[in-house]
Amino acid sequence: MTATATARIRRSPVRFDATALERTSRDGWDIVRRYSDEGGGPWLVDLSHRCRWDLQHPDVGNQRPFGVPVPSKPGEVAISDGFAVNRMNRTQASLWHLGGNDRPATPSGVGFTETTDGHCMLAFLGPETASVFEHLSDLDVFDPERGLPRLVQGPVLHVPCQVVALGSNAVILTLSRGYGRTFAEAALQFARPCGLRPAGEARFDEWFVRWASTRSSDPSLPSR
Amino acid sequence: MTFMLTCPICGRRELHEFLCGGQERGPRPPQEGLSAEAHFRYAQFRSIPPAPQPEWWYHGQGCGVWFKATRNPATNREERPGG
Repeated sequence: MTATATARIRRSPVRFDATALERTSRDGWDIVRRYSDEGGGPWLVDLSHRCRWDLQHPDVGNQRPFGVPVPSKPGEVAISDGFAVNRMNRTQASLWHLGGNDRPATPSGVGFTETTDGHCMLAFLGPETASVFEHLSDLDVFDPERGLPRLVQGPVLHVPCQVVALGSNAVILTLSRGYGRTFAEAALQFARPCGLRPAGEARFDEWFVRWASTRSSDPSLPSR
Repeated sequence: MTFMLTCPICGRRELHEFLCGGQERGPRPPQEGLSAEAHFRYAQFRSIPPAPQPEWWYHGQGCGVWFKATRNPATNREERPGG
């Protein structure tokens, strides 16, 4: 078997109808870093190549995947060192690698399942993100009584999703891979009145670094 | 007719996010000595009294949890302790 035949080729389910200005290849994924004419926001960013896992454990609240403690209550989100740990229910948490371009190894242990290739991951960023989301779902992901960041599980465009609102200008969601392409097309169409446009991964990286530094310098936020 | 249901994890959501798993009927009768008629009645018969009854529901479009909720078939509304 040739080297070409054994090389991994991994494709995002999402295709944006936009011209890529800058591309990179990482771990078999062809990733667009920037699109032409991204505009001033809001943006839709395809993050399907970012690593994700599910953790299932009867005592999930006392686990520390990647050194991050799993939150004690369903709906809570812990973010540290570029990882988001979302408590889903009594026994499960989802783990998202949001920061950095490296590929973390799957933690040892029987409870971890890598879900990167089975899901699609999208980020809504920038001004008017809340208005964009109101065009797509009845879910109140910015409920001030619950605080942010927060995990909400429910339908967006009638597709079951895990939705994490990081702030009033950033929402990240995952959904089954098969819905990815049409979901992105529908989201762009429904939120066109808000000016939603596709953007490359660099837009998310820049936002996340800025957001994480703001968080770490705010003493009112929990350290984890 | 739609109504709202309270998922123990996600809170109050619209009915279309859920699947109904039927009445809570208590434990299955012991297999030993179970007559064909008793088994038939357990498996097939349902009563729908016009009064609140416990039911199983599945939050399929949300957190994926099975839970029990109390619904009144007379009003087709969930009834929660304390209103």
